[in-house]
Amino acid sequence: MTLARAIEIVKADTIVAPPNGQVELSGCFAADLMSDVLAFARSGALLITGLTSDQTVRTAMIKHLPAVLIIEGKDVGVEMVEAAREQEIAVFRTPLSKFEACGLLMQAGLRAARRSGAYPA
Amino acid sequence: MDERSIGHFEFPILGRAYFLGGRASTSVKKALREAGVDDDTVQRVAVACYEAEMNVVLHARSGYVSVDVYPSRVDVAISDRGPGIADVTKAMTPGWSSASDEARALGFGAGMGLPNIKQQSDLMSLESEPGQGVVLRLTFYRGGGNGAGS
Amino acid sequence: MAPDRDETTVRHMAEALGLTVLAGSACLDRPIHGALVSDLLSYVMASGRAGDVWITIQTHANTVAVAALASLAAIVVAAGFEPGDDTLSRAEEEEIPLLMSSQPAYVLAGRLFELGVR
Repeated sequence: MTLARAIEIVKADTIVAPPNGQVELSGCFAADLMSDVLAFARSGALLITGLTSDQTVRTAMIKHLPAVLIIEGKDVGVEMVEAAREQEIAVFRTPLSKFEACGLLMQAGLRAARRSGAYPA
Repeated sequence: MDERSIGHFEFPILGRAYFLGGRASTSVKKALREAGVDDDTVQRVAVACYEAEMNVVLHARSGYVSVDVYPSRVDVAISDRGPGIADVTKAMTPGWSSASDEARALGFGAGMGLPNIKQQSDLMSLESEPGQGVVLRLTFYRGGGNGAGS
Repeated sequence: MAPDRDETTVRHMAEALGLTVLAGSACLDRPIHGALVSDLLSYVMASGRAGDVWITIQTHANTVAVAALASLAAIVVAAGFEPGDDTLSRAEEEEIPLLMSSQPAYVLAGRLFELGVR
């Protein structure tokens, strides 16, 4: 699924546009704990999170996640926007809850992008 | 230490500067990429550095990350000035955390930091001097690593 | 109180999603009124509504306390994370069904959504 299609499904608005136009997503990862993202996210995934901090975009950058979807129309601070521009991470915001956003994207066929395996190794 | 370092980088970390947390690690990632280190190794180093950096940000006054690139490995040392870790064994237990609510609100402090670092690295040593600080030394073998980054 | 015929219960969810029941098995006939996916306890304290299922990777005993305070229907621990004994006994005590799955939170949310939970 393309990033543009996913964004359309969850009726999100664009906070920071993707720098490279068309992006194909590897899947989706929903999390609020950045340690969870750092340990288990697959590269190329859309990150759905309720955490609106610059940590979110730095974590996305470290894990090669092209875009972050903020839920419930939460305020996105200027630090996060600046970090996103600097790290070239797209940021979107949906009015939906994380549950609804996951539900709609799964229904539309976007698969999970979580590395399997017990934790910790 | 039979090989000669072919690249050395250092980046400072400010304790309590939550909004800057992760800056040193993103800089490490860029520097390693530019040094031509393979993606899997870069990824593992970056993830471990990020967790270690957040530990410094959340618990210490200041610190720095130092990175040495060798033909066959990457060595990383994260040193801080701070309270140290009272019980290293406890700190290594998944789910155990002494982090504040503030840290948890940032999405860290869930007790996954040190276990994550251990998982990403090939060698890990942690020296803590109570009241002085912590030195965390990590080694990542290039190429034939543990695959945790993929 | 007997649930409506067409209402999803915790038991129905457990069967449909293949969840393992860890604690609170006496309370599986509770109806599900909604769901939330979060790993931030403060968020659940603020936004959890009575009858919600909470999907999370948090396994701390405090999650049970939060669920009890907000009168949630159940906690589903995702991604193969395993709650400890203190969390399990707390769940029995507070009568909060505690379930687990190896599936990621994203997938569990998707499948619960598919069951018609909103």
